[in-house]
Formats: sequence, structure tokens, C-alpha cells
Amino acid sequence: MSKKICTLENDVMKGLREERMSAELREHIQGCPVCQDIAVVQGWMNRFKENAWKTDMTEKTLPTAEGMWNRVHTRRKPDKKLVKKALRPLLIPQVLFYGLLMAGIITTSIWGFKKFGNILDSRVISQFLPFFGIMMIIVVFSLTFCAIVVAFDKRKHPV
Amino acid sequence: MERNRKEIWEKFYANHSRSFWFYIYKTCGDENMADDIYQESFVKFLKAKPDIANEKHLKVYLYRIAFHLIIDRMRRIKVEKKSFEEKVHTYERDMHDAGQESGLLLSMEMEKTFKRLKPKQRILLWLAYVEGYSYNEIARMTDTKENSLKVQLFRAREKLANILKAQELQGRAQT
Repeated sequence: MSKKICTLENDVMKGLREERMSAELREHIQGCPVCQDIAVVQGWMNRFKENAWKTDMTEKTLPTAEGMWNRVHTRRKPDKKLVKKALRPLLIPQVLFYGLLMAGIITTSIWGFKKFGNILDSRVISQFLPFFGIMMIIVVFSLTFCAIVVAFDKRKHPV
Repeated sequence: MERNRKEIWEKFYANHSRSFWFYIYKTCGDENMADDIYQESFVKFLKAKPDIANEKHLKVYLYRIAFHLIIDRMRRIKVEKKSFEEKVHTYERDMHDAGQESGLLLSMEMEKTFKRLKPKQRILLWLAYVEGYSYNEIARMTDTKENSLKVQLFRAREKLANILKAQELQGRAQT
């Protein structure tokens, strides 16, 4: 098996990279096949970097530090506590609305059932219809309101 | 605190951004991909809020993020050949227009040679021979055990050295 590692390879690499080679290292390279390969590769890599830097980096513009910072910090997910705080004013009308709705439905149902009994008895169908209509309007409005609240709640707020 | 972080970030970015982009570009071989990986690396880096006290530690962390992104992209997309051909075409046109010569051609030839290595070999060679990192640092950057890294780096170096020797022999034979 051929020798893969030399104890002086780090010194050789550093010396070649910084172009500061001592006489001892030069002498060592002559007799060490590992360091000879290192010298070939290090010299080539130095030239490759220098040439490529000239051709690739002279006109290359990169994003600014400020831009990168802002990109990350404006993209951050909204804080749940802040979202809850922002949505708090919506809670009062929401609770009020549901309370009134429930009261309305209960009252109308009781009244409607009484009327329904009367309808069956007294043939006054036309008197029942307005109450039924009002109930339907309330239901439609409440569903619409719920849909709006849910949609608003689910929206992503940049906080 | 946040302001202090931002100042340290700006200093870190000013010191390392260009060499970092250059490293990504030379190892992945495609400018658009390099731009993507560069931005994604910094976004991940900033989101992770690493310990900002030690600049060397930060750099290792950043290069580690980039390493995984490069390897991941290279596995998914085989763009090297196409991108290289496009670049040759653009360079040839530019050189023809501007009357330029050897520098670009030499750079192209060297890039062609470098691309004969596998992506991971290119990364290891770049980190060791251009950036000058130690085995320990490269092992941390690439999530590789140090002993395994030494073998991989040896193989990469051997392959490049053989390519270069063969090219030299070919050059001598032609002259």
C-alpha cells in the first residue's frame, strides 16, 4: 500500500499557499511522493483561484448585508401572541352576535312552535311565513359573519 | 441586543460574502445555482441564530450549511455539462467581441479540469487547498469523520495530480 499521509503535509500546503517555503521543506518535497503531489495540486489550485477570481469576481455583484438581514427578518412567521392581541377587538362583537343569535333562535322557535300548533288548528299559514323568513335571514347573516371571521382569522398577518 | 447582532452580522458578511460565493460557484459550477445556494445558506444561517461570539465557528457553520445544499442540488440536478457549454459559448463570443485572449481561456481550461472531479472532491480540495482549513474543520463542515476525510482528500488529491500529470505529458508530447 502506498503512503497516503505525510506528517509535514500541512506545513508544505501552508508554505506553498503563502509562498513561503523554507529550504528544509523544499528538500523534503524532493524525496516525499505525498508532498510532491501536494505541491503539484497546491500550485495548480493557487493559479486556478487567481485566474478564476479575475474572470468571475470582478463584475459580480452580491446582495447587501442589509438586504439579506431584512429578507430574513421580514419573512419571519407572525408571533402567535401578537396575532391574538390584534384580533382581540373582534371577540366582543363576535360573542355579542352569537349571544343574540342564540336568544333569537330560542325565542323564535318557541314562538314558532306555538304558531305551528295554531297553523295546524286555525289555518293561518300566512301569519307563520314572516317569522320563518326572519329566522332564515338570521341564519344566513350568521353564516356569512362566521365565514368572514374565519377567513380573517386564517389570513397571514405580517406582524 | 438585536442591533448588536446586526452590526456583527454586517461585519461578518463584509468579510466573508465574496469568498463564500466564489467557493460555492467554483464547486457547483453554475452561476444561477451558486446564487440560489448562496442566498439560501445565508437565510438558513440567519434563521438559526448561531452563537455569534466566535467568527471562525460561524464560518464553519456557514460552510456546513452550504456543503449540504451543494451536495443536495448536485444530486438532484445534472446541470454541469449544459452550464459549462453555455459558458464556453458566451466566453468565446465575448472574447471575439473584445479581442481578449489567454486569461479567460486558461481559466476555462482549468475549470474544465476541475470539473473532472466529483462535487465532493472539488469541495474538499477547495476547502483544504484554497481556504486552508484543517482536517478537523473540514470534517465538521462536511459531517465526515476525520479519518474518512483524510482518505477522501487523499483520493481527490491523487486524482487531480494524475490528471495534471497526464495533461503535462500530453502538452510535452504536442510540443
